[in-house]
Amino acid sequence: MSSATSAQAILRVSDLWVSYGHIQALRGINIEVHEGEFVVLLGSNGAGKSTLLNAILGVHTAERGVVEYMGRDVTRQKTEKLVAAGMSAVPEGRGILADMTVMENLQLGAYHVKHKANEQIEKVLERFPLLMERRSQSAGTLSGGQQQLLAIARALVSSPKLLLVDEPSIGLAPLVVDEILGTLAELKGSNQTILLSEQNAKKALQYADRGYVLHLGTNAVEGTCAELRCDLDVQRAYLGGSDAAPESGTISSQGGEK
Amino acid sequence: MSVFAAQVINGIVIGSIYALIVLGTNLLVVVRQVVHFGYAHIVMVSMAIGWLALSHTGENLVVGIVTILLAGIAITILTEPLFRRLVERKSFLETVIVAQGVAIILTDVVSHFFNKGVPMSFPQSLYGGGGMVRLGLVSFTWANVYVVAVGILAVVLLVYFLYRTRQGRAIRAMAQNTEVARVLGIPFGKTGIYGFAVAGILAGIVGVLMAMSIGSVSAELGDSYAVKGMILVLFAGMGNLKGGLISAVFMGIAESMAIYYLPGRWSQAVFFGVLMLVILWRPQGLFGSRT
Repeated sequence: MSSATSAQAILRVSDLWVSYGHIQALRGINIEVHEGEFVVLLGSNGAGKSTLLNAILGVHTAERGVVEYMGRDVTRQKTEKLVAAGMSAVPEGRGILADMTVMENLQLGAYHVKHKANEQIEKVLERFPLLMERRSQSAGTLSGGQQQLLAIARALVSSPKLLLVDEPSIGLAPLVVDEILGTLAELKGSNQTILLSEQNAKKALQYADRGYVLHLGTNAVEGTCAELRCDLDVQRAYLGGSDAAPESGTISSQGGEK
Repeated sequence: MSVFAAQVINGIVIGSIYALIVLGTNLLVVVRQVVHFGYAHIVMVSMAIGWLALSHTGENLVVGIVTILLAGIAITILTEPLFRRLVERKSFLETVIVAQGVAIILTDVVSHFFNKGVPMSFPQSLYGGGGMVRLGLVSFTWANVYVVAVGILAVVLLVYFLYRTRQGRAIRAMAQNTEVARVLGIPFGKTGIYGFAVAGILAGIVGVLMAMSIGSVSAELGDSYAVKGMILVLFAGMGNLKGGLISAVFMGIAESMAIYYLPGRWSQAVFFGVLMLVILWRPQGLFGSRT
C-alpha cells in the first residue's frame, strides 16, 4: 500500500482472507488500484491471483478483510450488484458462451446497461473490427485469440470503471499474447482502469504500470513494473526466474504454448 | 381412410399438448437443470382450480381460463425455491426426489379436496360447444383447432423470448455456463424465477388446452402425463427444445394410431420399449448432442 494516495483509489483490498474448505487460498492480501492505472497481479500457479479477482467480484466470499470499491465497502456484495456498479470481468479461460453468437455474447455484456445498450455495443465493435465482421458467427468458431478479444470486448460493453482480467495469455501463442496485452495497454491509454492477473510476468511487466507479486496467498513484493523487472531476486524467487536470459526461449514454460 | 386421417388429426392434437408439456419440462432443465416430474401435476392442479372457479362463477369461461393460467404460473414459481439451494450445490439427483414429492403432494391434494376425488367435467362451452369443422373427408372440433393454433403460437413466442429478449438470453447463458453467467452479473435467483415463470405460463396454457380437448380433470391425470413427458424428454435428449417438439408430435400421432390399431393396453408398453431401444442406441437421446 506504499505508492498510494488514497483519494482516487477505485479498489482497495485490505487484509483479505479466503479459503476453500480447508485450503487457505488468501492469507491477508492488501492491494490498491487507482483510477486510470493498469495493475498486474503476478505469481505462480496457486499463488492466489484468480482467487483474489473472484473475491473482489463477489464470486468467492471473504472470511476476513475488506474490499472497498469506489470508497464503499463491498466485501459481501453480490456479483450482479458489483457488475451493475461498473465492475466488469474477463474470466479465466475466456468464458465465451460458445454456442451463442458473437453479438449475443456482447449483448450479455450489456445485461446491466439500462440505456442505449445497442449504441454501446456498436462503439465497442468499432474498436474491434474483426468482431464486427463475425458478429453473427457463433463464438465457438473463433480462434483462441479472437475469443479472448471477444471476452475483453464483452467486458467493455458496460463501460466499466474497473476491468478485471484473469490470465488472458493461457493457451495463446506469444504473438497473440502481445496483441491481447497490447490491447489492454491501449485501453489504459484511454484511461481505463485495469487489474490483470497474469502468470507470464515477463510479458505483463512490459505493458502494466505497477505490479503485486503474490506468493502462497500473501503479498510477496510490490512495485512499479520497472522495479519488478530489474529486481533479479524477485525474478528468481517468484516469476519463474531462471530466465533472466532473453525472453524467447522460456516463454512456453510459462503457459505461452499454443 | 377417413379413420386414418381422423387419427392423424387426433395425434396432432395430443402431440401439441405433449409438445407444450415437454417444452415446459425442458425449459426447466435448461434453466436450472431440474427434471421436474411434478410439472404435469401442476397442469393438473391448475385445471382443478380452474374447474373450481368455473363452478363458483356459473361457468364464466373468462374467469375459468384466467384462473387456470394464473394457477399454472403461481404454482410453478412456488416450486422454484424448493430446488434453488440444491442446484447451487449441484445436487441434481436430489432435485429429482423433490420433484417427485411435489407430484405426490399435488396428486393427494386434488384427490382429497377436489370434488371428493371424482373426475371434474368442464362445461361444453369451453370446447366450442362441440361444433365441428368439415374439410373434405375429415372433420374435427373447434377445440382441436384451438389446441393446435395456440400450441404453435406458444412455441413461436417462447422461441422469441429465448432468442430475442434480454431475459431469454440470460436464461440461455445461465444454462450454458452458470459460472460465466454469474461473472457477467446475471443474477442466479432472478433468472431462475423468470424461467420458472415462463414454464408456468406454458403450464397454464396446457391446462386450458387440456380442459378443452379432454373435457375433464382428475388427480391421476398428473401421473399419466408426467410419465409421458419424462419419456419424451429422455427420448429427444434432455433440454433439447427442438427435439422435444418433434418427438412430442410424433408420439402423439403414433399413440393415436396405436390406440386404434393395437389392443389399447399395449400402447404404453410399446412406448417404453421404443424409449429403451433409443436409450440403448443413443444414450444422449435422439436429438441430444454427445457432450
